[in-house]
Amino acid sequence: MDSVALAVLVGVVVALLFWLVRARRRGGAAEARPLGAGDRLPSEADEFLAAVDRNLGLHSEARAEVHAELADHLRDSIEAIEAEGLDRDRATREALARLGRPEELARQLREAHHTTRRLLAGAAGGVFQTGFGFVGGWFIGTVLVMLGLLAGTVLLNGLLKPVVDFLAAHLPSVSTDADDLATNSAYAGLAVCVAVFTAARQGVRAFSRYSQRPVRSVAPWWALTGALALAYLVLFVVTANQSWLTVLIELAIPVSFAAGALVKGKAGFRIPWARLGVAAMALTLIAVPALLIASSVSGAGQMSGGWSIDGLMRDYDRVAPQWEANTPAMETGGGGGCCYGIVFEDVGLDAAYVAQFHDIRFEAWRAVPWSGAPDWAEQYTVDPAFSGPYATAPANIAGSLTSQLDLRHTRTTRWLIFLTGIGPDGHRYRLIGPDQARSVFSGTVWDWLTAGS
Amino acid sequence: MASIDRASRERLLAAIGDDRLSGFEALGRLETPPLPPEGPSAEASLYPALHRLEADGQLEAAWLPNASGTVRRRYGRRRR
Repeated sequence: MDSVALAVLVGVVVALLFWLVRARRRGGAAEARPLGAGDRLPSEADEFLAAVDRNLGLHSEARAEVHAELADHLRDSIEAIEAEGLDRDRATREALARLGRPEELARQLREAHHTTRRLLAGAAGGVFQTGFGFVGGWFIGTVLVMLGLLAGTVLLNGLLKPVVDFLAAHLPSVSTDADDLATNSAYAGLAVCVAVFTAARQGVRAFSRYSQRPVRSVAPWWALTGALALAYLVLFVVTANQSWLTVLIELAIPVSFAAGALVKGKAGFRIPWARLGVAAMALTLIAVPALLIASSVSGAGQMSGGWSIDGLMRDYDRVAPQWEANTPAMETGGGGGCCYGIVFEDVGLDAAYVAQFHDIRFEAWRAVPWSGAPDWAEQYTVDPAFSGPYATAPANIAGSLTSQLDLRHTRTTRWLIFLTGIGPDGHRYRLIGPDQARSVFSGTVWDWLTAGS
Repeated sequence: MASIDRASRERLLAAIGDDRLSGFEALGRLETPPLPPEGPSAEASLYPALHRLEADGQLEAAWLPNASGTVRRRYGRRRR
C-alpha cells in the first residue's frame, strides 16, 4: 500500500506542476502590459537589432553598447507609442520604421565611430601595447626556452640517448655542436618568436579597441605590416651569430607575429606563472638526478683509448710541405686566440730562422673533424673539399710574427691556421702550425643566405 | 552622412543642455527634427549624430539611472 500511495502522491505532484507551468505560459501570453525596461523585445525588434549588429563593423565592446542603447530606445519608443493607443505589433512596427533601415543606421553609426582621431589613437595604442606585449612575451619566451632546454636535456641525455647515439653514428654530416648551431642566437630567437606573438596579439586588440574597428578587419593589416617590418629587420638589419637553425628560427619571427595578430581568442592573456613554476620545479627535480646518472655512466670510458697524430700530420702536407722536421724553439711562445671568428696570431720565432723566407703569411684553411681521433680529442684535418686557403694575411714581422684573420663571414666553423713562407728554393713551406680555431658566422640572415661555405 | 552641420549640432547640444539625457529623452526635447532627416524620420539620424558628437569630444556618455532608477546610456556636455 505504501508504494501505491507514493506513486499516487508523485503523480499528483507532477500533474500539479504541469498545470502550474501551463497556466503560467497561458497567463504570460495573454498579458498585454506596456513594454518595460529589461523586458524582452518583440522578435521584429530583435531582428532589426541583429541586422544593425551585422553591419556595424565596430569593436565588440562598442557593438554591444550600441546594441544595448538601441534596444533601450526601442523599449522606450514602443512604450510611448503604445501609450498613444496603438497595439504592441503596430507600435513595434512604427518604432522600427522611425529608425529607418538597419543597414543605413549601422553605416551611419560606423562612420560616426570611425574618426581619424580614433584611428590615430588606435595606431598609437596598438604600438604602445605591442611594446608591452613584447616585454611580457620575452619573459614568457625565456621561461619557456629554459623549460624546453631542461626537458630536452633530460630527454636527449636520458630517455632518448640510444636514439641520439644511433642518429649521430648514422648521420655524421649533421652537426649537433653548440657552436655550429649558434645555440645562443637560436634560444634568443625562440624567445623573440614568443615575444612577437604576444606583442601582435595584444597590439591588434588594443588597435581594435581604441580605433573602434573590429578585430577581424584590423588584424590582417596589423599582421601584414608587422610581418613585413619584422621580415625586413630580420633579413637585412639585425646582426647575430648565424646557423641554419638560427636562420630558420629568425625567419619564423615574422610568421609568429602574423599568427599572433590573426589568431582568434579572448583579448586577455594571463601568464600562467604558477603552472610554469610547478613545471620548472618538476623538470629540475627530474633533470638533476638524470643528468648526474647520465654523466657518470657516459663519462666512464670517455677518455680512454689511444690514437696517433701521425696520420694527421701527413694530411697537413696538402697545405705545403714542412720546412724542417724540427721547427726551432719559439722565442716568445706562440699560438693564437679566437673570439668567435677573429683569429689573432702572435708567433715568436728565431730571427735567423725567419730570415730564410719571404712572403711569410698566415693561412686559414677550412677544417673538418679528423676521423682518426675520438670526438673528445677534437682534432681537425684540412677539409679535402677545398684545395686552397679561405683567407691569408701577411705576417707582420716586428719582434714576433703577428696577424689577424676575420673568419666570421663564411658558414665554415672549423679552421686550421698555418704559418707559411717561401723558402730559398722558391717553394712555399709550412713553417709552424697549425692552430685549431672555431668561428661562428656573424651577420644578417641575408648575409647567411648569400654566403658561401 | 554621419557628419552633421553646425546648426543641427547646436540644436542637439541645446536640447541636452546641462542635463544628462538618453537619446530618447533628448528626442523629446527637440521641437524640430534634430538633423536634416536622411531616413524616414529624424530618429534615424539621432544616434549617429550623438555618437559623432561623443567621438568629437563634445559630449560624454555613461550608463546612468534617472530619478525613477531606469538605467540608460545618457549624454551630457563634456566637462572641460
